Amino acid sequence: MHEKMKNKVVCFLTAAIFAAGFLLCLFLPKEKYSYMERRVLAPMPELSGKAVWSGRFMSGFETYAVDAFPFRDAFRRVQALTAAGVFLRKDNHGVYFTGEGYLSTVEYPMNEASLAYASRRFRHICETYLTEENEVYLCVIPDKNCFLARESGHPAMDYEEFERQMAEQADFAEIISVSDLLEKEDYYRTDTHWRQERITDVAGRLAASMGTRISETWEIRDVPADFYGVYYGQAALPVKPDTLRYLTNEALKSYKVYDWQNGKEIPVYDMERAQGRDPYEMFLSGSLSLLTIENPMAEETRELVVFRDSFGSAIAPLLASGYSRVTLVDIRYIQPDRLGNFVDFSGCDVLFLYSTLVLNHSETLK
Amino acid sequence: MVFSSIPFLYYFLPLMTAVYFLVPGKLKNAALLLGSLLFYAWGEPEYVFLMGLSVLLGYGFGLLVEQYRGRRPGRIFCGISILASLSFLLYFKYTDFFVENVNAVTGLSLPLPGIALPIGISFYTFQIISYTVDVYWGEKAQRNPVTLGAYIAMFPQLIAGPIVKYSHIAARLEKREHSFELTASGIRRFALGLGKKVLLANQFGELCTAFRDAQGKSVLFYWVYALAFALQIYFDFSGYSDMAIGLGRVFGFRFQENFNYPYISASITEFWRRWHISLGSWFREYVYIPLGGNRRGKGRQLFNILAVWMLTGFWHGAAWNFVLWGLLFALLLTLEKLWLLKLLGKSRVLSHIYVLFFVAVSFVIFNGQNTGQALSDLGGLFGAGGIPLVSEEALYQLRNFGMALLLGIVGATPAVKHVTGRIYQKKAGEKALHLMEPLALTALLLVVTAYLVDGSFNPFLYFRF
Repeated sequence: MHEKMKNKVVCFLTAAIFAAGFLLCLFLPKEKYSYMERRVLAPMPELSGKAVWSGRFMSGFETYAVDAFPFRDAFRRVQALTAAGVFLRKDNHGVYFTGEGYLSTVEYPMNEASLAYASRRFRHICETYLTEENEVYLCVIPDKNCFLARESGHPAMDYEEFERQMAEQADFAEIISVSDLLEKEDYYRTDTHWRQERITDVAGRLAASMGTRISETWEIRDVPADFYGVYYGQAALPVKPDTLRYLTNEALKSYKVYDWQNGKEIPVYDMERAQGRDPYEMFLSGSLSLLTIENPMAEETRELVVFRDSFGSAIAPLLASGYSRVTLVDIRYIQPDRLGNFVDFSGCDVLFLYSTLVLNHSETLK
Repeated sequence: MVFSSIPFLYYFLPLMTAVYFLVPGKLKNAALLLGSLLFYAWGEPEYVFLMGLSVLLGYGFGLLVEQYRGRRPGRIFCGISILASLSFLLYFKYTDFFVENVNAVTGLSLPLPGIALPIGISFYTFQIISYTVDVYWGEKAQRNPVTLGAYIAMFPQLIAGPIVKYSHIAARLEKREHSFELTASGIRRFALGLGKKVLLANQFGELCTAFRDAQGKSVLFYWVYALAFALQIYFDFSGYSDMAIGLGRVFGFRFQENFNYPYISASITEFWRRWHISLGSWFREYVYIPLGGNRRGKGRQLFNILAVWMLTGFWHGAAWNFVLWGLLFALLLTLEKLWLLKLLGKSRVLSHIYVLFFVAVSFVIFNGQNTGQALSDLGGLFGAGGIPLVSEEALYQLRNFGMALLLGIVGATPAVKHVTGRIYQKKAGEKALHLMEPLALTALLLVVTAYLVDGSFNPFLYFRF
């Protein structure tokens, strides 16, 4: 190709790229929701003199233009592959991929102030609602970085120190350690969460430490759809999906779950959600502030209140096999000071069950 | 609006170029001016009037200066024009700084006005001054306000330069030609600049942010940060200049080069001939030489250097760390003028180390949020505060950004240019490069778009000046 021809090709090719981009941006139908990123995409901002003068229209349009860009998911994948393949980045926006197919986010360093804040919030609950007749427990669930980060060359918190600091500050509770029962295979490869079918031993230890026993017989069922966890969308890399599994048995089938936030009965496993935007929400319908599980087949009348994050959703049905009633409270979504109106703590066991991810960013706790 | 954004690349630019090339020749400046005003108003709707007023003042004073050139009123009008331009700059950029310092010195608690800095004011003010001074020195004044407006407000260089002197493009403002050759070279330059900004500068910016957020600081991490910021500011600013120069060519202009591989310099004197060339030459022509330059003895020359570099520092920002940064260069340049330059000539390796060391240190001062942080960061480079030599975070970020840093270091030298130059010299190599270039440009544009769509966005560093 001669210089002159090359120049013409460069001009026409570039003009074609920008013209095509322009036309596609204008005329291609826009998605309202990104399933990959699990979020609502920015809409076109309202055009008015006031919005333009204040700059609101322009800033809104910039967000909209990026969100509504044609083939957004494909471009995000190109970015992720370039970061990994060309720039050899160890993480992309904090999300990393290990050779074994695991995705995770860098969770580092340990935020001591956050641990202290979480302890203060738990102490406040204890001082407000609990008496000497309540047995109080605390269990710290290590996130999967605990098993992935170091071996894949990423910085990792000192998880033993993490648990030690929580134990030191939570002197109102008996500590139940479960780290030794967990390994990376107990977590979904593409998601934050642990796999319910692999945590029966964790549930067993929690129950035993609280002086009860849970069922030992469970059937494993698969959700008949691929599970792309939260990290899959964040990473935008071509990673194989997981299979979402859940445990069931006769007792579990008799559970009555009541969602106090929305005032209705809900299933233990919501199969519609299992194939929805966030399939992990199939476990007790995901992020709910307050719900109860009644177990009519319980051997004794015994109640448990679990203060929990999303890790609690998968383990609570297992724990419920050892109690007649389990109340789940998520103080990220309900003010603890309002709990007295809904929860009777008399004689209950109380378990604070939190992942290191939430404890290390406890500003979300009310 | 910034060049490295989806609205610019896929909305504004296609529309702007289509309109520009469709309108007849005599309307091209008007199209350019209107497009530039829209471009500016996108980010600063209220300040577009301030820029319009500045242009009108420049236009009016230009005519008056020309009319009375060589006479006292000509000098007075030129002076008033400079003062008017500088007063806008002083008011919008430095009022808060002055009030803060008055409060600090007197113990008063005068409220800070909190005036927002109009984007690009430092650049277009200097262009207006260059215009009226050039007219005062004999350049023909522009009779058409649209043409002058197109010069001052021209969007490719409006916001972060290069500072284009009126005399450099006066002829092309009147008549310019467009060719595939010039346009293609503009596209190449623009795409290269876009890649420098989006693929490299933004990653170095991420590394600097990671450093700021890190709890585990160490001496190594401070030096990694110094390296990252030195590369960030280079690729950010030279990338912007490349884009401006490239767009200028697409619209038929040839702007002055603004960077010429500054990090290969063997002295600070050479560094400043290669870094932000348009600013350096502006200060030389409009401040240093009018002050007497080197024509009035050594003492006066050193004073002039000090004055120019204090002003250069102050131009970059209304904070003492910028003044400190300017003074550091004044000191180094003075030492070089007196004896250091001769010494540096004896060892090429040591002279490069000397330049890179002081430039890295200077940018650490430059990037401090305030003087306190700048000094604390300086201390960190040398282990002040008992910080460890190495930290886990520093090692991780080195691994994480290692390839980007390596590409940045190589890209900051003319190595790639030399290699491609050699390949071009061979017939087969030339053919291969001709074939590859359009493909490489397309791939680059698509990858840059991917990074922009993913939201890897950082505003240009020089916008705040």
